[in-house]
Amino acid sequence: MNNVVELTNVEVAYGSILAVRGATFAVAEREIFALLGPSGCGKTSLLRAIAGFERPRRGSIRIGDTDVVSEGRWVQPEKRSVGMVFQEGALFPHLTLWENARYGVKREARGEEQAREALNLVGLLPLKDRYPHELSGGQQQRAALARAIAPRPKVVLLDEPFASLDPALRRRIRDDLREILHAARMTAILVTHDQEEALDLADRVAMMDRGRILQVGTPAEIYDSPARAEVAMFVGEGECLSCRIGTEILESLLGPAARELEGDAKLFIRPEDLEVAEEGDPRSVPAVVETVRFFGHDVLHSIRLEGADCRLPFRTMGTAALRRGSTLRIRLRSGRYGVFIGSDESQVRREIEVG
Amino acid sequence: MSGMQSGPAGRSALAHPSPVLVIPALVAAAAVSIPLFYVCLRAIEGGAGRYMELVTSELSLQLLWRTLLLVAGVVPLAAFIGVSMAWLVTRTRLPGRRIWAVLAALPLVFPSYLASFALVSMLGPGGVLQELFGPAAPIRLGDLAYGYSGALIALGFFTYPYVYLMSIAALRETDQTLEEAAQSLGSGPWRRFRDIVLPQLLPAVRSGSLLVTLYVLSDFGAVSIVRYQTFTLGIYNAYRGLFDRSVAAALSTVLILLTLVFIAMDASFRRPPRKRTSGAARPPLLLPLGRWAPVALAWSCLVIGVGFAIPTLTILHWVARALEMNRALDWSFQGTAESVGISIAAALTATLFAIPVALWSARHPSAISRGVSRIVFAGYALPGLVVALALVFFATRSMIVLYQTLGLLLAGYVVRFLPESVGAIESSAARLSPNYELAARSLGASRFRTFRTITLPLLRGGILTGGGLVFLTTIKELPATLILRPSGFETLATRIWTSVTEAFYAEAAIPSLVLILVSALPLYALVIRPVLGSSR
Repeated sequence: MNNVVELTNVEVAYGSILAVRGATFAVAEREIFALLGPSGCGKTSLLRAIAGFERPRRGSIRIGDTDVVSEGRWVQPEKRSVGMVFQEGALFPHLTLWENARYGVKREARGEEQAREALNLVGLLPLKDRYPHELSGGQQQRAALARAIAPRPKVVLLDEPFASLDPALRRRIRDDLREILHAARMTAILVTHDQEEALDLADRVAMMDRGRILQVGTPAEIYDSPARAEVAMFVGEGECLSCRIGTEILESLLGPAARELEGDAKLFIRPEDLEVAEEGDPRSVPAVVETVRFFGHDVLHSIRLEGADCRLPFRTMGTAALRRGSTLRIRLRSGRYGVFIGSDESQVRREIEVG
Repeated sequence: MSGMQSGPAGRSALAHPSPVLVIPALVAAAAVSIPLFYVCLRAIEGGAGRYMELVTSELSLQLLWRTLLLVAGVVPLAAFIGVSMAWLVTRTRLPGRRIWAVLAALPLVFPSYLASFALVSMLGPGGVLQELFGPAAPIRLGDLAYGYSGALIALGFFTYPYVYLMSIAALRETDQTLEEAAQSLGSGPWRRFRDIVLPQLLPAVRSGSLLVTLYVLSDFGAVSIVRYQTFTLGIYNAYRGLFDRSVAAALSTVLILLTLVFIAMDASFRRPPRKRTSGAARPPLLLPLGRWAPVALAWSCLVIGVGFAIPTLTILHWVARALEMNRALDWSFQGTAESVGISIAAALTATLFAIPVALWSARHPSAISRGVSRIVFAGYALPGLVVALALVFFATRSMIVLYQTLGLLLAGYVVRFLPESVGAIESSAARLSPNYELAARSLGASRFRTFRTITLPLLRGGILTGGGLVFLTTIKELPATLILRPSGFETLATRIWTSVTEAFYAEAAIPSLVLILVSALPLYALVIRPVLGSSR
């Protein structure tokens, strides 16, 4: 498959503040690619650099066959063939839906046809004479998407496209978006801070934190084998159990596997990794239930391990909840676990087998 | 290759403003600052010793004293009237409060020279009172119209709407829940006003008072008609009467300094605006006035009577007299056309320069763009008379072809009133998300097409408001017009002023009425309605 967008070592700075440090990734044709990370991690700056709204300090960006950013070369946004969908849509308020959709296409029959197709694709052709304020929030987002894809850009960039919608609407628009992008055979880069959105929608995800790309992978790779503790903590529920806090606890939980670890290791545990242990199980540790959150199909508890100032999430399926304040013994289910060794810069991941 | 740029990287790509914005903005900043430089040059050309002598002369100190005395009288008067009326119409059950709310803004239609025209032609010698009562007319009232008391009335009762409108806006924005919280904690109406309402109102009162102060410092029309000599009148007399223009220039520098001191005093008070603590805006509780209602009504009648009803009736009286005598009618048509024409030209020119200044500072904030915007705003704070003299000094020294031309007059208007347009467009641009422009660029539109099809239409409201304000203030402008107009060119304002100072009241009547009628609509649409129109 061809790469439609390629970033090499892109650095974006605002004055002395480095917003993006050395971002490198490639997006394949018709792929939906998500930039995921907490707010302020640099994901929007990176998207804006691809669109041409920011000028990277270093690095190169290639869109299609064109180097849009490279040493001594910088292509204006209007020459890049990218479609941009903003958080709040940014539909031109003084133009009708039809005029919005037609804004980016050539003023000839073929262009008009493209605009019509795009509106038809998002299901808004019947409303084409309305003004943006006469559309609902979800319709506005679909209209913004139609406007962006009408000129058939090489890539569509979506900046938190669901953030301004209410939660009930978000999931529906997300499904619409996936269908529309597939039907239009579009390549897309999506920026979001919502991990559920990224995992649900994207073919591949780049996890960002503090200006750095920590990991690029499929949703399953990101969830199952996070490359760093930050990724693990951000995606899905879970907590790191640090060696320093309770080495004895770690040895009880892991059994012989604990001996493979040394120094500053952190064991990452998801709520579904724990189970209630039989009385007298040598691999179990005592714990107290501190909070109980009821979700219907499952119950999420926060438990405190005895003898350590450490809380872990613990999920039980079904509606049977543990009582707040009750004590129990828990153990790790058998399987493979990620352990992160070392501090910030030199962190490495190791996998250990718990039997 | 078009569409490609090479150059220093590492900045936001669109932070590079187009020269199409930068050049006109720099021209505007130069047009404001260069003439001021010439004022200083003119003031010190006789040497530092001579300058100090002029500045500390008895005349100068006397002008300073009288000017400060007038500020000290007018500002508290205007603040008191403004706040009391604002509070009465927004927070009490004043009978007919909605009508009073509009009436209380109406004194704005009288520029100071019209206010003082009404005052002297009502009370003064040869005025309405004398006509009505003959020799039995109360002479004391005639004295009231002139000197300090005349200036106090003509400025205080006609500038309070600045404080009034700002106070109303602030009272509307105050958080009702704060007052309710105070009430639930057991505090009565007076304590609530002192502890909750007043602190929220103070910034508005202070801004309004600064506007009134600047108005008084720069006023020429009223003080020249009621013959109370302040800096502006002193400078004007020195400029007209003395061959040595360095006297006028030296006095101007003192007035500029005085203006800057007041602005700096206000700026040092300024705190970051407070955020409302809750979003829900609900109509405030209205305080029943009870037995105080007649007092409140009498006060409102007095304010509206002095500020609007009496001057209107006086001017209508003179209009009737003028029609009887068939005077000044033929001139009025031509004069109106010239006044309206030059005001439209000023509005268009100002808009042309204001768009780049506003867009540069709103879209590409940097030390330079902010500096330019600030310099441009300085023109607004400076008295029109000083701006006009500055331009005269500049033209006679460096561009004599401009002297005594409509071009220089136009430049004076633009320098003085550009900030109104810049302000309106800046606030429009600030409300407008830059994403519209970015979206257009992404869709393949060039900078120019983006500007033409997106930016310009979306800023239309601000552009029209700004242009309207420039039109409104230009058509009423007096001192700069007197100094800069080519000989033979007469606007409504200069016509009124000349007739009144020569006590030909009937000749001033029709131009006055025309001026009020022409400015009433834009005044209502641009100044009064934005504040009162949001009323329930």
